[in-house]
Amino acid sequence: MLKSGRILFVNTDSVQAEAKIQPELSDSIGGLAQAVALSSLYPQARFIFSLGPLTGFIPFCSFGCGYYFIESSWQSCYWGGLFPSALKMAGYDALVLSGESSGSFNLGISSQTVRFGADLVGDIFPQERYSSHMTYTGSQFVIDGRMVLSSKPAYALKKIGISRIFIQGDACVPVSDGEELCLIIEDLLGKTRLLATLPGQNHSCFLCPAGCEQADSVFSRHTSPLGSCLVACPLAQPIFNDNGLVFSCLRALGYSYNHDQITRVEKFVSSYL
Amino acid sequence: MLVAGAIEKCIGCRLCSFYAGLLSQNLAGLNCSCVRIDYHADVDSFTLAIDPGSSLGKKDFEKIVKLCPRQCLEIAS
Repeated sequence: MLKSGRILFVNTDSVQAEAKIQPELSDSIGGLAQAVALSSLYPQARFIFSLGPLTGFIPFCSFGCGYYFIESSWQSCYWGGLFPSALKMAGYDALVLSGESSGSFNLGISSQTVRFGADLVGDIFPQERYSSHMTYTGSQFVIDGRMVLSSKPAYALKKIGISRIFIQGDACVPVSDGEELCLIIEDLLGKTRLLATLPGQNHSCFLCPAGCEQADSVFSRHTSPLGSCLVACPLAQPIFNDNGLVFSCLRALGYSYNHDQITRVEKFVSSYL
Repeated sequence: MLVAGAIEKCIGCRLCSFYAGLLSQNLAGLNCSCVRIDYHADVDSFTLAIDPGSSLGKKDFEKIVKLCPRQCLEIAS
C-alpha cells in the first residue's frame, strides 16, 4: 500500500522535526478527513498539509489539503501544482506544523532529512532535480514561483514562523500493479473533456494534461466530500463521481477500502464542507 | 531514441516521466524515471533528458509519445 501513514511533524518552538508512522489514520482515507483526524490527535498543530491516497499517482489527483487554525477555528484550502506530489514522493502523507515563532525558518524536506536553515536550496538540494518550494516574498507566500497562497492560510503559516518550505521528492515508490496503473492513466486522460475547465497554456499540475487557467489557483473549498479526501482537483469532480473508477484507482495502488468505509468518511467530511 | 521535438509546447505535466517509470520498472516517483523534465525558471522553459542506459524499447517510446498531451516528443531513428 502506498499510503504509509508516515506523517512529518515540525515544531518551530523547539526547532525539531520528527517523522512518525500513524496507522490509526488509515481509516480516514486522506485529505480533509485525515487533516481533521490529525488536528484531534495533535491539538497543538496549527497548519496541516494533508495528501490523499491518489496524490501524485493518478491524473487530476495531484492536490493537497491545507487545514489551518485561524480566528479560533479550523479552515481548509486546496492547491495542486507540484508541491503536493513532491511531498508524497518524499514519502510523507501529511506535514503537520506547530509552534509560534517570531523567527523566520526555512524548512528543507527530503525523504531522508529535514533541515532548518537560512540558505537551504543551493547547498543541500540542487535545483536541477525535481523539487517544489513555497516562499514568503514579504507580503505573500508564492508556490513554485507562480501560485499565490490566499491571505488566511498565509497568515497561519507565517505565524508559525515559516518563511520557506522546500521539498525534494527524491524517493522511488514501487507500485504493485504498474500495468493496471498505466491503463487507468490512459483511461483518465481520455476523460479530460469532462473537466470543468478548458485546456490552456499554463504550467500544468502534476500528471494533468490541461494546463488550464485555474492551474495556479488555490481553492478555498471543495464541493465533494470524497474529492476532498482523495484529494482530487475540484474541477475534476465529474470524473470522480464515478465510484467504480475511484475503486479501480485505489485497487491499482494497493488500497483495500470498501464501500462502507468510503460512505462513512463521506458522511464524516460532509459536516466540514 | 526519444527526443524532444517540440519541447517548447511542454507545460510540465510530467506524464511522460511518470509513465516511463511505470513502464520500465513499475516504479513511481519523480526521481526513478529514465525520462526527466526540468523547469528552468530563468528562461521559463522546460528541457527533456533521457537516460541513455534506459531499458525502454521502441514500443515503450511510442506509448510515451502517444501519451504526451502536447505532442512534445517524437522518436528519432
